[in-house]
Formats: sequence, structure tokens, C-alpha cells
Amino acid sequence: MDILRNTKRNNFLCKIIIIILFAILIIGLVQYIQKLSDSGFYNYLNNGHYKARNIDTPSKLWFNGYLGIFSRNHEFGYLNLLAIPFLLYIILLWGKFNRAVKAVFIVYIFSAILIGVKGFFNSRYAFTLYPLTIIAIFWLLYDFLKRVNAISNKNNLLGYKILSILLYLLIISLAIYSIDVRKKSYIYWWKHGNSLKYIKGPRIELIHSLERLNIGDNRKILVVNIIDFFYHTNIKGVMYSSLRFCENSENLWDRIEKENIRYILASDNIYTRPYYKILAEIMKDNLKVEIIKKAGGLKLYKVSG
Amino acid sequence: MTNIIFSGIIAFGLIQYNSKKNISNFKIFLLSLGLGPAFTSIILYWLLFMFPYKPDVFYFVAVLIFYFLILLKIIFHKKLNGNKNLINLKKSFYLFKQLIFLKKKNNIKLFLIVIIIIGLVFSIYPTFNQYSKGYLLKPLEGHDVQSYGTEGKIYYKEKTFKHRYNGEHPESGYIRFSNHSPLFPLLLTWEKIAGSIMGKDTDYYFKSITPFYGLLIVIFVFSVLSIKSVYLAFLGSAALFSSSVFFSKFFSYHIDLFRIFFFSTSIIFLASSIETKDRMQIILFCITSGFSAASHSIGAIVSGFSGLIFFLFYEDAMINRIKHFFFIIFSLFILGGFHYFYDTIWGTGWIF
Repeated sequence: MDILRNTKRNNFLCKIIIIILFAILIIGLVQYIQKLSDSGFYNYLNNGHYKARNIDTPSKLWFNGYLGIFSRNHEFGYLNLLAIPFLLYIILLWGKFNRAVKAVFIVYIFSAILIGVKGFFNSRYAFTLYPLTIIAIFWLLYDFLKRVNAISNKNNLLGYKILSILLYLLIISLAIYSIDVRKKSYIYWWKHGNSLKYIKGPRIELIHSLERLNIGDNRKILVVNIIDFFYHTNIKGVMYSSLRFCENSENLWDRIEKENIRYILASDNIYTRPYYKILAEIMKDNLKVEIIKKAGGLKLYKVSG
Repeated sequence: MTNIIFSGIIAFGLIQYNSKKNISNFKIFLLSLGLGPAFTSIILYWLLFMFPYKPDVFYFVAVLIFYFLILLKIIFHKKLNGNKNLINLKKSFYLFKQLIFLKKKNNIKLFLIVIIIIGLVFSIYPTFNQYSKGYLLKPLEGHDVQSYGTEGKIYYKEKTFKHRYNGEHPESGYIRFSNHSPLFPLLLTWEKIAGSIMGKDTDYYFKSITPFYGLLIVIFVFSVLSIKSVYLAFLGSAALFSSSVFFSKFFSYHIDLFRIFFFSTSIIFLASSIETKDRMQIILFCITSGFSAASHSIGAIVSGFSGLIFFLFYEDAMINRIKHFFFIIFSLFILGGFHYFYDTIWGTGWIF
């Protein structure tokens, strides 16, 4: 038990474990990128999905994807850029910070790596760290100014005050600039975010109209990634993901007939996504399907036969 | 009821353990506003898991009984100084008075500032009434939130997680996309259960979760930074809105603000528990980490890692560190981790 209570030994053990953890993380990250590059890493970028998410070039992939937490500024604001110098500030003054700050720093970096590697394709995941980043920036700014104040004497008090004002002005300017760059987005959400016109929006109306459609007991409706259908109605549907393993349009058509699918509900944009390539071939064939309703970016097709 | 009464009961329960006062009772109360819905959801999770296929009234009454038991625990609280089984009504009344009338000067300051912030947020909406009506009456939109909503609807209809762990719901044909824990969808299930008892079938409560947790994040950022300076806290909480994404979240329905609230609080309580070594802070770290894990898989992985970091950075005898570490792991398992464990072994597989 005395060995276990030895604080020096414990601290040494902690450091060793942290180094091992980081080594595992870095090796994992390198291997992951290596694996992607072996399997035609940059070919992924031509995917329409990546274009929609603004990560369709190598530089965008890095700045808006992997490092999105700090540099996806058009969405997260320009304050996040300050996280980088403040993280460096912790590294440079590592010994001066208490264990709590060090622990949060390690968890923050771990989360940033995890989100960067596994969640780079969706900015929602990078947004997870946003409130913590804001707290960290303001907390460390305060800490930095306090340290500057402590080492400055009465002679350069004016210098300290000017530095404080400049830094706070920088933060306020960055915040205002972030809002200014995206002011159209703010105005849009403010004016239309809760507009009552959506209550009877054409999309929802089309979905509700399906309940009045007499599909029949054995007949089914194929739902192509329209989750509204499952939430807003009580009709049984067939999700496209259950048919996605069909190799070509003939196989898919066989499945549609076998499952007795009589209607297809899909959005307008399925033609642009590689995931729906085979289905899109069928949709273009007027002999097989015909559009019977069209509203709010949705199309309802009737399957012939 | 869920956000105020249940949260209030949890706040009273937690305040009993706040002997060192490293965190003010008022801050615990503010945090508990976010804990109430999550606690209700996790109780419902265990009820549906252990007692499936029961009528609505069973789950409704069981949740009420759980909170009633916490109330009893508060009233019959055993004093730490050795007075056993003392009916501690006097202390409970004192805590109530302290919470409502906010005797401490700091609390009053914080309370006023929070009220001013909320007032400002509301007053800058010239058509606040229209905002809330529009927000709640607008049908639930968005791919992700609708899939969580559909899950919640299925749990309500089936009163079991059988289909959750099989991947597909044969009655509706719905196939689940994500392997995240069902803490968020269960809020809709809870609304439907309570609604069936009260004769109302709406999803207003489920839809209100996003802006509710958004406001809690603003208050949370404020209360963390207010430790340093009130002006800094004002600046920091206002700076949150410099992200158009954060602003837009107040107008759209999503799980994001719900999960981010628990994610952020868990990491801040990791720091405060290491720094203060206060039992209260460790309890709060365990609870928020558990809910962070239960609300999203990112939270699950980071919470596990945070537990390990707590073990490495908590300065105490190794035996105490091991004891705390197991307490954290146990809380993580009960509040959120169990789902991933079960799903990996008997369900649809590992998160990724």
C-alpha cells in the first residue's frame, strides 16, 4: 500500500500513461490516413455529398473537415481561430498550470482528434466543442492578462492596460466580424426560422395526403430517405436502405416487384447522389414509374403494373 | 413538470451533498434544470428495459414514484454528523428558503444577471409570442431529429427496446441509422406517455428541448466565466452568438444542444473535481458524464476517456483514486454506458 501511496511514483506513472495514450492516438491517426490514401483518398472528394458539405477539395477537407473545429469559420465564427494560440499558450507554460487545466487540455485535444478523424464529414460534430472553446478562449485570455499584470510593475501599468484593451477589442471585433460575414443567415433565421407558413407546408401536406391514399393491405410504398414519412404517418413503408445491396437496376426492379411496391416517395435531389444511382435509372424510365404528385422538393411516383 | 418540478427535486437531492459549498446551491439548481429531463428519460429507459409491454399508466406512475422516493430521501436525510434517521424537515425548509430567497449576496448577483440575460434574450424578440407559437406549431422538421422522433414514437407504441436492438421495426418498416443511446428519443416517449394520461397528443415538449438547452448552455458559459469576472462572463456568453450555427439552432429542432450541454458540463466538472476534490463536484462529474454518454456516442467515448484522465490527474492516495474511478465507471454504466455494452454484445453492434 505504501507503494500505491507514493505521490512521486504516481505522477511518473501518470506521465508514462499519457505518453503511451498519445502515441496510440498518433499511430492510429497516421494509420487511418494511410488507409484512406491507399484506397484512393482523394477520389472521395468527387462525391456530391462532400461538395454539399463544403469539403470537396484537399484544402477544404483539411480546413473545413479535419480541423473544422478551429477553421470552419464561416459557420462557427472567427473567434475559434484564437483557440490555436491559446492552446499553444498552455503547451508553452505547461508547468505553470494546475492539474485541472492540464486534464481539460488533454480531453479537449482527444475530443478534437476523435471528431476530426471520425466526424470530419459533418460540421455538427465539430460544433460539439464550440461552447468549451468559447469558455477556454475567455478563461485563458483572463489568465494571460493576469500573468502579464503579475510580472509587470508600476512603470508599465499603462502598457498592461493598453494590451488588455487591445485584446478585448480584438475579441469583440472578431465576434462582430463573424456576425457581419453571415448576416444574411442571421436575417434569414430571424425572419423565416419560425414562419407559420411551414405549418401547412407543401412537403408535410404531401406526406399527410399519403394517409388518404388507399394503398391497399399488401401493397407497399418505397421511402427514399424521407424520414418525415415515418414520423408524420402511420403507414408501413419500405426503406430504400433495405434494398441498397441490389447490384443493378434489373435486380432492383425485381425486388420492387417482389416486395409489391406500388409507390415511391423520393426527394428531387436523389439524381445527384451516387448512393441512389441505380434507383435513379429506374426513376428516369417513364414506362416503369410515373410522377403523380410533386410538392416541397418531394415527388410521389406510381409504379406501373 | 419535468423541467421544473423534477429538476427541482433533483436540485434538492444534490444540495444535500453540497457540504463544502465549492459550488453554490443556486448553480446546482441551474444545472439541475438540465438534469431533470435527462433523469426522467433514463428512468424510463430502465423501466422499458426491465418491465416492457406495460400500460402507459404504469410508466407514468413509476416515474412519479421515483421522484417521490427522492423527496422522501431528502426529508428523511441522515445527517453526516451521526444523527441517524432524523426527520430533517428543518434543514429541508432551510434549503428551500435558501434556494428561493437566495440569501447569499453572490447568489443574488448571479440570479439577477441570469434574469437580465433571459430578459434580454426575450425582449429582443419583438414578436416573442409569435416565436414560441411558430416554433412549437411548426411540424417537426429535419432528417436527424425526425429519426430520433420516429424512434421515440416506436418506443411509445411498442413499450419495448426489442426492435431498437434488432435494428428494424417491422410494423412501420423503419430502419434505424445510428447506434446512439436512446436518451433523447425517450423524451418524446415520455411526452406521449404523460400526454396519454392527460388526454393530449402533442410533441411540443420534445420540440422545446432544443431552445431550452440552448438557453442552459448560455447560462452555463456565463456561470463558469463568472468565477473569474462578471464582465468576462457577459462577454463570453454573448460571444456564443457570434456563430451563426449556434444562433440558427434556436430556430431548428435537433439533438445537438441537448448533447452539447452534457458534453460541456462533464468536462468542466472533470476540471473542478480534480481541482477541489469535493465530493459534490465528483458526483456532478459522474452524472453529467453519464448523460453525455447516454445522449451521443461522441459523449460516450469522451466520457470514458475523461474517467481515465480523472484517475490519472486526481491527486490522492492510489486506493482513493481507484475507488473514485470505479464509482465513475459504475455511474457511466448505469446512466449511459449500459446501452452501448448491450448493443455491442446482443444488439446491432459497436457504435461505428
